[in-house]
Amino acid sequence: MIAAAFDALALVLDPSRLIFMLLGVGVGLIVGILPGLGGVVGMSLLLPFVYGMDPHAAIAMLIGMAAVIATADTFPSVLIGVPGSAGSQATILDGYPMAQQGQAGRALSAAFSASMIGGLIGALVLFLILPIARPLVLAFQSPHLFMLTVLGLCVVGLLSGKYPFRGILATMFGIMIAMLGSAPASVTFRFVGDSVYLMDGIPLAILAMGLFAVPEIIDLLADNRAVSKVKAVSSGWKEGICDTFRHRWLVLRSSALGVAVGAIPGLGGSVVDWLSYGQAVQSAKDKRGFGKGDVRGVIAPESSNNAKEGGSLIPTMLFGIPGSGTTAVLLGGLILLGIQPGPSMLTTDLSITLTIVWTLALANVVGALACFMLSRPIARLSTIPAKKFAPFLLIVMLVGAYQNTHQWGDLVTLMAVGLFGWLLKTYDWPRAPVLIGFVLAPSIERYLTISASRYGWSWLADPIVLVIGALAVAVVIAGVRAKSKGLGES
Amino acid sequence: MNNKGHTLYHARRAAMLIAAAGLALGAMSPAYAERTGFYDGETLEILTPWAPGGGADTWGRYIAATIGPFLGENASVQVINRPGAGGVQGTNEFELRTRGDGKTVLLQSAGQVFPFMYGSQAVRYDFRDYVPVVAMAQGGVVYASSTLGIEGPQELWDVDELIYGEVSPQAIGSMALAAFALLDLPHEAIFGYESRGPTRLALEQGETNLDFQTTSAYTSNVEPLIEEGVAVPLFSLGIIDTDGELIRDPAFPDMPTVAEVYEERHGEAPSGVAWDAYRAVLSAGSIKMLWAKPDAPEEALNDLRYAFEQARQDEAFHEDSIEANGPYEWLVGDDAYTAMSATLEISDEALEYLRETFKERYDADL
Repeated sequence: MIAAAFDALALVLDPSRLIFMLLGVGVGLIVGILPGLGGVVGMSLLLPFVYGMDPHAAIAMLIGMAAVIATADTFPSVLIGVPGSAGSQATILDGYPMAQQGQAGRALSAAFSASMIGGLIGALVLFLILPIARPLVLAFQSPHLFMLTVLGLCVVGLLSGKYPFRGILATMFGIMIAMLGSAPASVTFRFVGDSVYLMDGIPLAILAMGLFAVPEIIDLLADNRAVSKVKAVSSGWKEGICDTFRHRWLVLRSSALGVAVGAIPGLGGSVVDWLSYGQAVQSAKDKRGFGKGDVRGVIAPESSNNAKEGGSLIPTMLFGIPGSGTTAVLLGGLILLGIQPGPSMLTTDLSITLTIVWTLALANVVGALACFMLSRPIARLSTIPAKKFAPFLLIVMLVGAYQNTHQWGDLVTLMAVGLFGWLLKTYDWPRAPVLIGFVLAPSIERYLTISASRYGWSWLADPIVLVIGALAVAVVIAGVRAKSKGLGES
Repeated sequence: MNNKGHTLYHARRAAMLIAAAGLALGAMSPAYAERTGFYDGETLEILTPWAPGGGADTWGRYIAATIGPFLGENASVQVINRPGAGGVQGTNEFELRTRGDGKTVLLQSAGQVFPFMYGSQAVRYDFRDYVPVVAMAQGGVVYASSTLGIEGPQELWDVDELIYGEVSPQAIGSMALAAFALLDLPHEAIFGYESRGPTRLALEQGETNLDFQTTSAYTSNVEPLIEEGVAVPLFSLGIIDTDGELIRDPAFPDMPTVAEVYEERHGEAPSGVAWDAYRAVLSAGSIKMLWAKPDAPEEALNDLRYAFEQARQDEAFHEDSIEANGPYEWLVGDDAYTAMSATLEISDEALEYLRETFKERYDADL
């Protein structure tokens, strides 16, 4: 394995292939920085060029793109409070207040260094765990997956701000929005009336942008202020790196969580940043700063959303089961290259697998360095007054929204959800629970349906189910106790 | 199923058939006139009503990457993804908004065909109005967990509890459900899995013990399980040939089809309404196809078919195709329609039989 790994490294470092990896990294940077565009869009841009390419070069390009998005999407989250892609929403909670206090440089550099380490850990775990991951993935049956998604839902309790009851209501509302569209396990459509657009339900990217980006732009315009009055965006770089080093255990924990959540199919890699934020709050002794510009609230989601890429490649490569939208498109790319994911990825196609691991590691380093270099010019954006900047941002977002299904419904939905998000923000209702409820609801319903129809009631007595259940209860209790200290979204 | 414009289409198709027969003078493969150059320097769009990355999208992208040289001088081919409503949305768009200028063809796969066959409210299209360009039938295999302790399909009826994992009553796995109905095999179906990957995992975990996989997934992920002794192959679904007959799957020449299993059990070949229903569900679920708009220029239709006919006979294209799509034939023009005909011309009795069977066995409304 080690010898094969060095052979693969030689393959990856071949200049002709390196060029393609850098090309992928470049696309990933752009897609990550533009709000509303995520890995699926980037993959779709590159896919037409894949057929007939040298497989190693093509994979270097695709993985290079996917690895960098989770690093680059930090820019809009921190600088303008708008998520760059679904994976960096939680970064807004503390990253954006930091930018407003003139600490954008520190927030960004903490985020990039945490991203880089998270990505490297993801690649390392992927390398180490692939040979033994099969039984691990097979260990989780439907009842266990159901309990894990419930556990994920309980983290909401930690993100509900001062009002736990509002958090619960917002979660319920998110679950309700997720019920729009086709039901799993049958051919019925719920709450869609005559609208064909709604048959697929609301796209996640649009919900995320509507909840977090549109309200921000409305408020910026209403005040006609720049995000950051302080020109000190370019200072604090060293401090950010020191922050990451100081909280190294948090980085490790969050990365491990990211890999695990990414590796379990159906747990929803798109909420890993929230889960990670939740555990950072949970484990912190002094919780008062969260939501007001605590650097730990940047480090935790950023390390885990890069690490999850390594995790979600585990089921993709071993079982041909994509862990996310990005890996679903990657799977199509692999098949076009004549590679069928499965057990052969550890035997005949081992060099491909190792190419993926190396590219993941290299692209994370290159991507983080590129972000460091770009940060000075890009950070200036946050000092532009809103009236000049918001129209441009709005167009970018509308284009991003329209990318989802190319229907007018996308734009209407974005505006409707945006208004709803603005009302939530204005009246101090937590928005993260809406999103978590939305993302986890389909899995909860799916695994509950399967568990009940397969095992009747007996699955409730399964030891693993009981253990995860106890953990969920503990998380809820901790959340309620944290409430009295009044943390969460401000 | 509605019959809007159906008779008209048949008249048109008969005319086309006569014309083709006149050209071919009874030759085995339909001949097309020489290439007219309609696509020289032009771009053909393949409208794919799903997000990038799925099986049908990959098939479309394979075509986009390889057919250009056969289509015209400097002809380029692009896949355009229009996801929505499991494929219905993009196909409605093709019906309502795509111009019949020959520059766009529709990619058909199971996702839009099942709602069409079962008469879903959302469907605005009728494949029988369109002109068939090319099709490919890709099969699959039903296999079982070795925990059942059986060695072949005939022993299935001796097992206490067969549990089959499924996505929904109209997903591609319903081909296996129709096969179980034809064989009258007692089993329990668990609905709700996300796709065929998770159903395979469920069999490995022991959550289920009966599963179906399409050819590519079967060869890459199930055959290793069979070698390990974890799984046992049972039968293939078979594929439909250019005469509309069910034959052995070329990817699994040594494996009996569901029809052979039936024959061995009953001493006669399957027939009647359950057999019609099975073949309708099979072609609906296993055939990928390109359709053109009926008002497209004759030159365009001719050149499209000409391109695939030439490609089919090209050594290099053929080898690439086996590598990418399995050893399945490219069915051009009317052969493509024949392969789909069991679905497109399903009788009311067969539809009624499917509805009743799914209601009775799974309490599912199609």
